[in-house]
Amino acid sequence: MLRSFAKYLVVFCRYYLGGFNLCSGLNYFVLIFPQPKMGAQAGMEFVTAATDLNIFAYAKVVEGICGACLLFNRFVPLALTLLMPVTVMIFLTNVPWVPFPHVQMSVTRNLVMHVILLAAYANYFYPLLKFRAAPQPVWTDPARITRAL
Amino acid sequence: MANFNFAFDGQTDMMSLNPLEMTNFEMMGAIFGVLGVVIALIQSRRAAKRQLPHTFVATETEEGALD
Repeated sequence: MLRSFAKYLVVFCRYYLGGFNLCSGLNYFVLIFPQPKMGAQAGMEFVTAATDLNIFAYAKVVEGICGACLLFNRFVPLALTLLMPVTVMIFLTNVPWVPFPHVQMSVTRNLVMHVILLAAYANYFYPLLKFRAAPQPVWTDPARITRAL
Repeated sequence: MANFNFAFDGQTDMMSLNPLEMTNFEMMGAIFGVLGVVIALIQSRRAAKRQLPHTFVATETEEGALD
């Protein structure tokens, strides 16, 4: 019962984050919904600076591609890794600074779901915990990339 | 009062902690999430071959390592 619940919780989190990020990413380039506004002056300045530096566009591309990966269950561990900086940055720029409880709850929920997914796909990250790692360059055996697919 | 507010105009009450009152992106996420669970339930009932998690073997992490 608990195992079944965990399975569907992971499925829900994957589809939720996938749909959320895909729509958020696509909406930047094809405006369907009004762009959300930051509730704090410092946050607005941060978004303006990030937009001027094209970091915001990069983040939206990452959101769109990784959201599609989560939605279609392709390269999920890689997508979670690439999306983590975006999720953490949104969390850090919103929760302490934006006075709206709804926004704080929303970004916290996204971060919690992201952590749940990282924990659910933990077996792909265990090799990162190697205490003493030896380099194993990609150029010594490039075919490993295709073998890993 | 519970409110299922799919605000196309982005005008969601940001002071509300009602989980049913969602912004557009949250609503899209929730729709996809529920759809995903329904698809997973249907697939499990069809007894499709289960996707097993990948198990790393020693050759994948140690093969060709530079000492």
